[in-house]
Parts: sequence; C-alpha cells; structure tokens
Amino acid sequence: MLITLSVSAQKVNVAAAANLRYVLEEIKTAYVKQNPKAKVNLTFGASGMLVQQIQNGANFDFFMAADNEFPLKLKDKGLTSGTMSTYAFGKLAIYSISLNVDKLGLNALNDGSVKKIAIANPETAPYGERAIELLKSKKLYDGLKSKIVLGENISQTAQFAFTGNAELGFIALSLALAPDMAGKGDYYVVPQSLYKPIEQACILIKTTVLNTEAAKFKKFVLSPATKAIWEKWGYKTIHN
Amino acid sequence: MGMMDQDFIDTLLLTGKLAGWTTAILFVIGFPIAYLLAYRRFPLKSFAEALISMPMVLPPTVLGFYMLMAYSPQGGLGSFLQRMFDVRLAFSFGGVLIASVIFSMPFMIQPLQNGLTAIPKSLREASYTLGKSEFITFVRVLIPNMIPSIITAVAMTFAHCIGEFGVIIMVGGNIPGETRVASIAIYDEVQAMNYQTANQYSLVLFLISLVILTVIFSIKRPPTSFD
Repeated sequence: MLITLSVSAQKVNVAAAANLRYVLEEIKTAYVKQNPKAKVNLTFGASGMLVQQIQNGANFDFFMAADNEFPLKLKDKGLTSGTMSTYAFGKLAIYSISLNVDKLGLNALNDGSVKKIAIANPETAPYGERAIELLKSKKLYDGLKSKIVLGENISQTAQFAFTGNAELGFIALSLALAPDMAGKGDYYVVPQSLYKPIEQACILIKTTVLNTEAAKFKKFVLSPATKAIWEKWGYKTIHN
Repeated sequence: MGMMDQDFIDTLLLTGKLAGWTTAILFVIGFPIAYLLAYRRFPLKSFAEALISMPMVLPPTVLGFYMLMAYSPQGGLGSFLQRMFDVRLAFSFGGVLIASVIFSMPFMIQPLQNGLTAIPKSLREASYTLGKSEFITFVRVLIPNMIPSIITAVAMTFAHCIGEFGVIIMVGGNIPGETRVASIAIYDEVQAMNYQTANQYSLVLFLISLVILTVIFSIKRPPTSFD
C-alpha cells in the first residue's frame, strides 16, 4: 500500500482569495524555484465562494482567505487540519481611471462625475464588507447606496473600475498595484484607522491522503522568505 | 406569505420584466428579419443567418466582454451615449436588456423563419393572384397559418431569457431591482450559503421553464396538418 506514495512531489491545490492574484503567483514562482518538482495550482475567487466550494467537496488542500473568519467556518465544520494562521494584512484602496483619487481621497466619493461605485459583494468578499463598513461609519452609505454596483469578487470589482464602467472602485491595494491597473489609473490607500484591519488567514484543508506538500507550501507562505514579496504588493506582513 | 418575502417577489418580477421586454422587442424586430430570410434572396444571406445564430454557439462571456467594452464611458459608444443622452448602460436594466435582446435573437427568428418557410408557396400565390398586397397576405394568410411557430418563438425566447446568466453577471453588477435577476440571485445565494433561498428561486425557475417547454412540445404536434 505504501507504493502509492510516489516519489514525485504531491500536487498542492490552493484556493485563494481574489486579492492574492498577483502576489501569490510571485510567491509560487519563488517556491517552485526552491522546490523544482513542486506542483502548485492556484484558484482565485471570493473567500465566501471558495468556502462554499470546499464545503461541497472541491479538491483543495490549502485555503488562503481574505479575512480570519471564513477559515473558521471551515474549521467549525471539521473540514480543516491544523491551526489557522494569519499570513498578511491587506489594505483597502480606492481606484479610478477618471478621477485623481490620490489627491481627492475620500472626497472623490462625493464628486459629481461619480455615477457608479464598484464594491465587492460584502457577503462573500471581506474587502467589500470593509468598504461598506467604511461608508457606513462615515455616514456616506445612505447617500451613495444607489450608486453602488457589486462585483462578484474583488477582481471583478477592480475590472469594473478598470474599464471605467464604474468611476470608483473599492479594491485591494494589491490589485491597484498591478502594472495594468497602476498604469491606467490612480489609487488612494484608505487610511487604516478608518476600517477594521483586514487580517488575512490561511488553513490546511483535511484531505483523505495527508498532503505534506501543502503543509510545506503553507510554511513557505508564512516564512520571512516571502516578506519582500508581500510588501511589494502592498500588504503589511506578519514579520516585523 | 411566509417564506415568500418581498425581495424574492421583486426579483422574480424583474426576471419576468426582462424576459417580457426582450420577447416583445424581439417579436417586433424579429418578424421582418425572419420574413426576409424566409422569402428573399440577397447577398451574404448565409452570413446574416450565421450572425443571428451566433449566440447559440458563442459563450455568453464573449458577448459580456464586448458589452463591457462597448458600454464603458471611456469607449466610443459609451462616451457618446453619456454625452448625448446622459445614459449609462453598464449596470442598468437597459444595458442588460440590450444584451438580452442580442443574445436571444436566434430563439425568436429561427422558429419564425421555419414557420414561414413551411407554409406552401401556393397559399401566398393564390393571395397575390386575388390582388392582395404582400402586407395583407402576411397578416391575413401567413400569420394565421403559422400560429404554432409564433407560440414556439415567443415561448422559446421568453424561456431563454429566464435562463440567461453569463452576460448578466458580467455587465449587470448585481443591483437589486435593476439587474439582479433570478439566475444571478441563485448564484449569489449559493455563494452566501443561503441554500434555502437558492432552493426557492431554483424551484420556481425549474417549474416555469418546464411549463413553457411542455407548451412548446405540445403545440409542435398539431392534431391536424395542412397539405
């Protein structure tokens, strides 16, 4: 029976929050460089959507959420193995291709040219949840409610703003820093004092055969070796 | 009402409104097109037929992508509409309706075209010989002889609209009362793990679609046929 454990490295299927799109590709590249035999598949989506897929038996080994609540939902259902670990802190940004949001800051929200504001679905995307919380705490929500359009995840939200179909988009800073996005528009990093920190946590998914590669990849994600990559993409790291 | 809350009913009404408008618009523009395709020869006719049938094979995401580009105020059409009419199509009922009309076109035109083609030529010729105009012939002779095709076209278009998802998720923006139709609501409720609500929507759509298709299949076998 032991023969089934082949010599080639196991494949790691990662379910990752959509804000990780660029940073995780880079971390994967660094990891594969160190472990040339490793196979890492990345799937991106809204954290809530990924939780739902994992609950329904999707074949993932490792879950990297956009907050520290969605991993607990899986843990509560007994679908995970080991502890939940925070891997980075995300930052919320406002992006626009038509307004100088870096100068206007939150005043951009009240600019007359703003017809649509893209926000990720707050039910499934923590960045969207924070954006709504921010608007509510600033007493702007009721006035802007009719302008809000919901992206299915944070990537689609960014794409609504990137195509100009929404003048403003509340997105992850990591997406605003992507070369295409940064080259075409402006972004404003929302002061972190204005919203609850986006503590992003990860957890291993329970699998029938122990996936040691997944544990190894998790360890790498949490290691100081990735610090520079996280910082490059605008995250606050866990290593100080 | 119990489980049937207002959001649920509003979403279903919006779905019906989108399907109803799409069907009405396509009926008006689809009939002349079907007529031309059935009785006229013109250059590039096969190309025109192919173009109309494209939505049957094309992934909805292709149209969704093009629509998103076209609707953008940064683009030519989008900026024109914005400047001239202060109209924004992305994330609006109008924008979704346009996408829906384009995407359901073959479901209206093909049954109508088939219905027109199936009417014996002698019927039309007899009418012309009696001095009736083409329009009178169309209204008094052709339409009464293709009622099953008309019902099929209308029902198929309506049913197809209800089943639309891909384009709407790309250009809709999930706005309640505007673009959050039932198919989107189902997706949304499943993601949010509200399986009970998803179940209610799904059951309603399942039943409506089943009824519509049953109607179509029952009229496809008319008790008597002419010839």
